[in-house]
Parts: sequence; structure tokens; C-alpha cells
Amino acid sequence: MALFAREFECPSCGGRIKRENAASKSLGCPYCGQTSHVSGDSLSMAGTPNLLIDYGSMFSVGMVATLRGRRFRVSGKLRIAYEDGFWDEWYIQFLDNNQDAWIQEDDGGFILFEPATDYERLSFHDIKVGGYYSFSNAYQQVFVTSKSRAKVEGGEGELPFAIIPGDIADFVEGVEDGKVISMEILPKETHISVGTPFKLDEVSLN
Amino acid sequence: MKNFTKALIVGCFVAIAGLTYASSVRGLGISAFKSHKTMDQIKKDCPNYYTNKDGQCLRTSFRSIYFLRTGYTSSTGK
Amino acid sequence: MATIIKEEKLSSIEQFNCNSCGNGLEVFNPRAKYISCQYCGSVLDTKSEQHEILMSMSPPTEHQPMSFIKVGLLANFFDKKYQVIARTRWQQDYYEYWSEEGETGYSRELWIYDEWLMISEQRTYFYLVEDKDGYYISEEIVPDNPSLPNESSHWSFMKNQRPQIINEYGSASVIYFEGESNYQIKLNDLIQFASYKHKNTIYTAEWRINELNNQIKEIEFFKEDKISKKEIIQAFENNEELDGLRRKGEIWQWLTYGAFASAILFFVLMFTSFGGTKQVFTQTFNFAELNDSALFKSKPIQLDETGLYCIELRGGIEVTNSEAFVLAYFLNNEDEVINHLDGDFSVYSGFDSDGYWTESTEEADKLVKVKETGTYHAKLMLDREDAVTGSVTLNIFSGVVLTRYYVIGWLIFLLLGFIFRSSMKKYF
Repeated sequence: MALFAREFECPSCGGRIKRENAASKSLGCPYCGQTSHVSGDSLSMAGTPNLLIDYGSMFSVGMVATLRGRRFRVSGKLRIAYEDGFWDEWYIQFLDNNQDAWIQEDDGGFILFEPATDYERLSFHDIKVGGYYSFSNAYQQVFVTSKSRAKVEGGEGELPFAIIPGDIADFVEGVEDGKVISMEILPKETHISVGTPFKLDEVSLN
Repeated sequence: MKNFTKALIVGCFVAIAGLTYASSVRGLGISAFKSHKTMDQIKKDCPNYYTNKDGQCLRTSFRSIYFLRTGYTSSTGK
Repeated sequence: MATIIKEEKLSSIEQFNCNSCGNGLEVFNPRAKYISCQYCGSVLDTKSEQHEILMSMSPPTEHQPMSFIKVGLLANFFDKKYQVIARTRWQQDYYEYWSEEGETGYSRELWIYDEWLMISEQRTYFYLVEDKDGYYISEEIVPDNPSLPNESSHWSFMKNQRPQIINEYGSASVIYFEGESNYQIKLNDLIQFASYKHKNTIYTAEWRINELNNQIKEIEFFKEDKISKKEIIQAFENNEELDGLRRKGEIWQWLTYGAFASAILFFVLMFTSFGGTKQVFTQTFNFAELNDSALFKSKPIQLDETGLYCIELRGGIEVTNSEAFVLAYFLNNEDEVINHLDGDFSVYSGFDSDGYWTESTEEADKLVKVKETGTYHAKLMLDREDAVTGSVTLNIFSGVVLTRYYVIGWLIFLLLGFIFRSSMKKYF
């Protein structure tokens, strides 16, 4: 663990930011809320600082916990705002095989998302809620349950892709075979994740 | 619930049960063996019976009770 | 009896006074953006300094809660502590499936229900639904086979479920709200829904339609399990407000059990009291010994106990189609008549289309309360036609118990038991 751990200085406030994962592309300063992009040895500021308010979630950046018997570490947090509120996405790594995953926390509901291997390019505009679409090779009959245009509010800790607070992201969420399939369309990338809901009781803190 | 309330409820039921038992055994509503109704009837038919204990007069009250019960309106008394 | 643990309410993150009516408001949900004052119905912004009033709802008096549940109460569900933080009242305008005598159809109905938002210490949520029929726990679920119901009336969205009849479908709109909300409260916000029943669970799909382009905005799937009133009361029992209710419920419970126990007791006593009678005197008099002019004295009647006695005259007429009238006087040991018993006996028989019949009256009795022990005797007179032969027996029994009070007792207590029980049911 943490072979390539490095400490950076926040370009906005000078605070010390630790980066555990070499692949992390964005770092969020826990002191001033400034998001920075990693390029080589230096950090460049992205967007305006936005210190995310802590709403009393059970999760926090840096913690280690166990979900369904698998230990994981929370590396980063991403907050996405939409018409009716916001939700948080916790970027985690399972410690047994270093596998990346996301925990989506929205209104007291939790979903564990794991990235899919491929995706189909779909037009956000053309997708209709209530229709069936193919999101990837493995999920070709996804029943779309919601779609929303949202805004990245900010991040904290380490994130695997370069985010800019204020970026518009389109989300399409659907269900197939008891799994939640989420498609996130950012300006430069599209991500498909497959999720299963879980209850807080299934998480134990270490 | 307070113990007092519990005791009150149980007490009421026990009291009612007791009253009912006592009434059943003691014969509430049953007239006494020494019946004023009978004695009044006899005094009516035999005004002096209780003073002179004249058994003959009892025949008269027999007649009046008899006629009452059997519904006979005998014009020939005996 | 369980001791009431006075649990502490969840710690509020904010307290302030309503700008409109001045009553104190508390915010428990960190994500709440809006709070509707439960006293005056104004919706305030929780996040801004001034807590400005955004809109006004109808006054709370128009939409009182249906039972004791109200915003602020604590409850124990799934072994966790929850607090009621909001209520949404919905009015459903929908079609309900009916089937009767081979015919089926849908009837249009209106229904009102309340959704109580319960928040846990960890700030997880669930909805407790309350309507006239009872309580349900509502949970959002991820369907196995998601679909929207179409014109065909059978549907299901979970695996291992055969498509079921769509029980209800229609729309629902918010007609009242109180408490905290993460979203802007939109009165008359309309949702469409359809539901089916599988075993004892109701499965529902709800969706919102964007009025501008008539497209569906969002679809959610829920399941609802009924929860009994008893479990609800148990879940909410650690609230001071419920003490009064619980006490009343317990009083009705005790009254109910007491009434039924008394009814059983009296019923049993009614049967057991038949034994115990003892014959203390018997004498048979032949008709030939008795007449209507002289009194015939009986043997001494020794009554050694006070109490209830039964005096009985039994006729034994030997000639059919005849009658006899017997009168027995009872005298005390001072030779005074104190009581009498008469018997109007008859025996008739004959033939008719049904065959041979007999009709007879050969018994007369009365109950008396003996207050003085001692020696009594009887004197008998008899009136009969000369040809009527037979005898009459005088019997006296002690140890008699009046069962009439036991009968009245068990009947009344049985009735009371059912009356109390229906009052008790309101609490359990």
C-alpha cells in the first residue's frame, strides 16, 4: 500500500495534501476546498475553491471500513448537485485486490458501484425515461429510471479523473436484472458503473 | 399502569363476584319462609286466627285460594 | 410491565423561531433545505440567515394527523432509533380493482394517506405510511425486471413473481406537508403510480411526468409491508406522549380480561351449584287420607339450618283425565300458619292424528328463605272428585343455590367483555 504516496502543497492555501494513489488525477484540498489537477510533480488549480460541507455522513476521506466482509479505504469524495439537491460519490479502493469502486450516498441510500469495462455512446437528449437501452455489452436492456443534468460541486481527497468544479455532467440511471446501471457523461469522458444497493448495517468501521 | 389502578379493577371484579355469590347462596329476592303474603291472606279470611288459633277457619282460606287457583267461580260455597 | 425508557431526541443541528408565528423550530436533518412550521404552515428556508418565508401551506388544523404519530416523536424500528421529522399528506385519485361473482373491473376512488419521514441517528431514512386502514413500512427497491405497466392488467417487476393483477393505478398529489425537507415542497406535485400485491406486500412503481414535454422525469419502485398497530405502538412506546395512551390501553385490557374471566367463573359456578341439595323431609299422603274439610297434619319438619330451601309437592294421580287440588299449610312450632304451597294437578290423555298424547301437571314448588331454625309441620287439604285416586308427596330440600344470578352474571360479563375488547383494540 502507498508505494507511491506523495505529499503536495495546495497551490491555493499551501496546506499539505497527501496522495496515496499514483493514478489519481484530481486532488481536493481538505482545508480550503480547492481542486487541483496532478501533472507530474506539480498541481495546477482547477476551478474555484469550494469546501464541501460535512452533512454528517458515516464516511470520510481517509477512513478504512469493511463492507460485506471486504475492507476498503475511502480515497476521495465528489459532490454532485442537481435540481432537487445533491449526492456524494465516495471513491474507494478495496484493500484485498486494490480494485476501484464508488459508493453513492444520496438521501440516506447507499449504492456500491463498480466500473464497467465498456460502454456505448448514447445521446443524452434522445434517451427517454421508461425506455430500454443498451449501455454496454453486459447490460443491453437497461430500463432507464432517471436522467438529470447535474453540476460537479467539488471534490475532496483523491479522484481518478480530472474534475473541474462547475462542470456540467449528465447522468442517466437505469435498472437491469436487479442492478443499478449508471451512466455519467462528463465533458471529456463517459463512465458506466454497475451498482448494488446496501444498507449502513452492512458497513462496519474499523 | 399504577398498582392502585390495577388493584381497583381487580377489586371491582372480585366485589361483584362476591356479591353475586352471596346473592346466590343467601337467596336474594326469595321471600322468607315466614311469609307475610300468606299471613295477610289468612288474616283476611280469618281475622282472629292468630289469636285463637282456630283451625276450622283455615278451611275458608283453603276455599279462597282454591277458587283463585282453579278459576272456579262456584256459586255454591260449601 | 416494561419500564418506559425516556429516550433522548436526536440532536438537532439548528434551532430557530418561525418568522411567521414565533414558535420554536428544530432541524434534525443536515441536508434539509426547507422546514414547514407545524404550527402555522409557513415554509421557511433553513439555510439562509434570516430563514425567510418561502410560501404558506394550508393551516395545520385542516390536516391533522390521523393518530398519535406526530413530528418530533421517537421510534424504534429495525433495532435503531428513529425520529419523525416530516409528514407529507397525499391525496390519491385512482382506480381500484374489484372482482365479485365472476365479474371484474376498476372503480374510481379517492384516498388520503400520510407519509411520515423517519430519520435515524445515522441519518438514514425510511417512510412510514399511515392511512385509515393501518400502517405500512415503505422502502425503495431496485426491481429485478423493471417495466412500466401497460394496458394489460397483469404486471410484476420482481423475480419469482408471476405477473399479478394491477390492484390500483392512478395519480397522487401532495395536499399538505409539515417538517423538514431536502427538496422544495411542491403542493399539488403530481405523481403517477401503479401497484400490485404479492403475498402480503404491495409493490408500487411511481413516476413523475414533466408537464412541459409530457415525458417521464423519473421512475421509482417501492415495496410496502403492513405493520400492525400493536407493533407501531411498541415502536413508539418510549415517548412521553404515549404514556397516557398506553395506560388507557392497559386499563381496557385489564377490564377485558377481568370481564371474560368473570364470565367464565360464573358459567362454571352455574353448573357446579346443582349438586349440594339435600332432601331433609319427605312424606307421601294418599288422597284417601286428605279431604277438603279437615286438615291432615304431617310429621314434624325439622329445619336445623337457616338458608334457602325448596318446598315441593308432587302429585301422583292414578286416573287419567282427572284433576286434584292440594293445599299445604306450613306452621311453625307455635302452630301458626306462616306459608302455604298449592298444587293444581291434572292428567289428561287422548288420541289425535299424531297418535297418543298425555298432558300432565304434577309438580308445584317454591323457594323459601328460612330465618329461624326449629320444628315446623305441614297441614294438607285436598279437593277432588271421589273417583280420583292417587297420592301427593311433600318434599323439602336444603342447600339450594340460586343460579339465576350466575346466569345473569356470565351473560352480562360476556357482553361487557366484548364491549371492552373493542375499546381495547383501538390501542393494540
